[in-house]
Amino acid sequence: MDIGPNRIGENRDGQSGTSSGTFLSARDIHFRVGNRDILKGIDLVIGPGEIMSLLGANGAGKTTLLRVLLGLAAPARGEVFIDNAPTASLPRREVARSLAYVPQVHMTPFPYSVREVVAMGRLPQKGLLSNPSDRDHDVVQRVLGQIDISHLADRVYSEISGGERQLTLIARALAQQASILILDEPMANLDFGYQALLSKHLRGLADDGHTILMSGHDPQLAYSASTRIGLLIDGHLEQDGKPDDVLTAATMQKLYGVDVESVALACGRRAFFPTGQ
Amino acid sequence: MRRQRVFAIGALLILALFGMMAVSLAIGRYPLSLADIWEFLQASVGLHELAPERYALLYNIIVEIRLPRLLAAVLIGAALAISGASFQAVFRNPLVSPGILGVLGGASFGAALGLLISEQWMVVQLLAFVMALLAVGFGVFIANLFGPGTMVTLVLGGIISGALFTALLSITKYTADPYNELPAIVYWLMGSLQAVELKHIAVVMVPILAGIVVLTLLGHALDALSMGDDEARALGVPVTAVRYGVIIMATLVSALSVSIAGIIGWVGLVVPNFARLVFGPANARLLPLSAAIGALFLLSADCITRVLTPAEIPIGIVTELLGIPAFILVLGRARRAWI
Repeated sequence: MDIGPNRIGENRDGQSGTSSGTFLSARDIHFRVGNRDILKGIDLVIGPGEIMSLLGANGAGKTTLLRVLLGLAAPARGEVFIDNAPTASLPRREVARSLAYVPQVHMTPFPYSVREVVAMGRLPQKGLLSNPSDRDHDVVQRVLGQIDISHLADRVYSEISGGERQLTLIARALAQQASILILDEPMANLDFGYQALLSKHLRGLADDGHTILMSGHDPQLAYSASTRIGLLIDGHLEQDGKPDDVLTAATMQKLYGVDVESVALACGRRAFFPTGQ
Repeated sequence: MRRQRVFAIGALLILALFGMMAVSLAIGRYPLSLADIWEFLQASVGLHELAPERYALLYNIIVEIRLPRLLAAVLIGAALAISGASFQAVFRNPLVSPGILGVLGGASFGAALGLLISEQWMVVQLLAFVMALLAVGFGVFIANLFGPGTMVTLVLGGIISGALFTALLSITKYTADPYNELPAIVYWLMGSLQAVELKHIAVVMVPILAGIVVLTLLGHALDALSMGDDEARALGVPVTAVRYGVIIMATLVSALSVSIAGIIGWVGLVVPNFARLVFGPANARLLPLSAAIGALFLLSADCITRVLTPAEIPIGIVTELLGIPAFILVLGRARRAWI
């Protein structure tokens, strides 16, 4: 079924689960809903090893941008590329071999086990109609171990905690063996411990050569979890760079409309506190 | 659930189904023993000599009277159960039944119209089938009237279409002659396997079996679809094609079964939920196992209708009576997973 060269998704037969690394880029993305411009020309290139957080006020267009990058919403103008291939021209299944989506934690109407949810990640690799092979089962088992949730494998997905469900969805993305991960507010609804755990896993994945983009609400979390931060303000990517450069009292004033004090810590990191109450 | 266990339970189900088939051939107003049936089977392939009049008697009872009912019960039970399970997956709701898009309303109107305008059973069946498809088509059309259909607009389209065809059914009933036609319509609506003949089976068998195979093949895609459209797309699933493909196949098999046997309720709702409790929600195995359980369920219900009273009660009533306690049990066990 898949004989012949394909530029992307060559990692299908690799054992490591990650590839040599794939770039995700967006060129001049515009998006409209009715006569309201949501995105007004976004340019973005993200590569292997990067963890980029998108920050923006509610309604700034973070989710829309992620959906456009995933190919779930068609932009009014502009294109999205996986390496050099425009995603709009690729079959969806091929896109899914390079680009995995980790949605916000949700419930399922049916009592799928964690293992079954993770196994859905094998769909783009094995095809829609065939049953999972032994190799698919092996991959599922391996990613469950990689994310340290092997003990949850036979639990019902809708009965475990929000943090455990988020990890399950990340495991499913890994089972896809895609090298680009897009996460929609992965830190929301997680307790402090799970936020730290998730940051650790994301760092590990980036070190393995994954390209990671996520949206978020908490600048402190984004600061400590990412290698790069983008500020989405009014449909433009206003700032894009290293966390230390992007997150300043001035930019956060602009982003959230409140005064913020940025405190340098002894370890070389920074902490942010809203001021003036 | 482990694969070996699923295979074991599946094999048991098939065995139980064959056992029930034998029972179904044996019981009735003229009881046969399993030895009689075995004798007849051997005689019919030339391995055994039977007196011609005894052969003719057995042929009449087994092949002409009981076999069509048996096959109808098996096919219709399987069709209703798998179409219910498929609709539940497509609409991400375990409480959906095959009638969700208006298939039952359409078939009821079609059959009533047929009973009104024609004496011929074929016309009734054909009209029931055509109107069932028409009703679903109309529901889907409404759902897409103001932009691409979503799950909510599909449900609403189905409700609107169902209401329209129910109104048409009422008009038909109102104009029907109350001494002959009206009772025939009411009786049809209760569902019955009595009038089924082998030639009907010959027509519906292949499409129903094909529908079961196609729906089963789409099981993995349906699993992804039940996580939500965006996630399914991100997993490489052509969501719209799969959704409408499943709707078409599930509508086809349920319309075929309704057109030969009338409205047989509860099978499409209860059986998939029962199967999900036992085998888990993974559709690639849930769908065929639902079909097997549905076949067994309806065949058992048919045997009950035949032995319970000499004047046979319609099978639709029996499935409802059996379905209610079964569904209460399912509700009790499944409550946890639904909240």
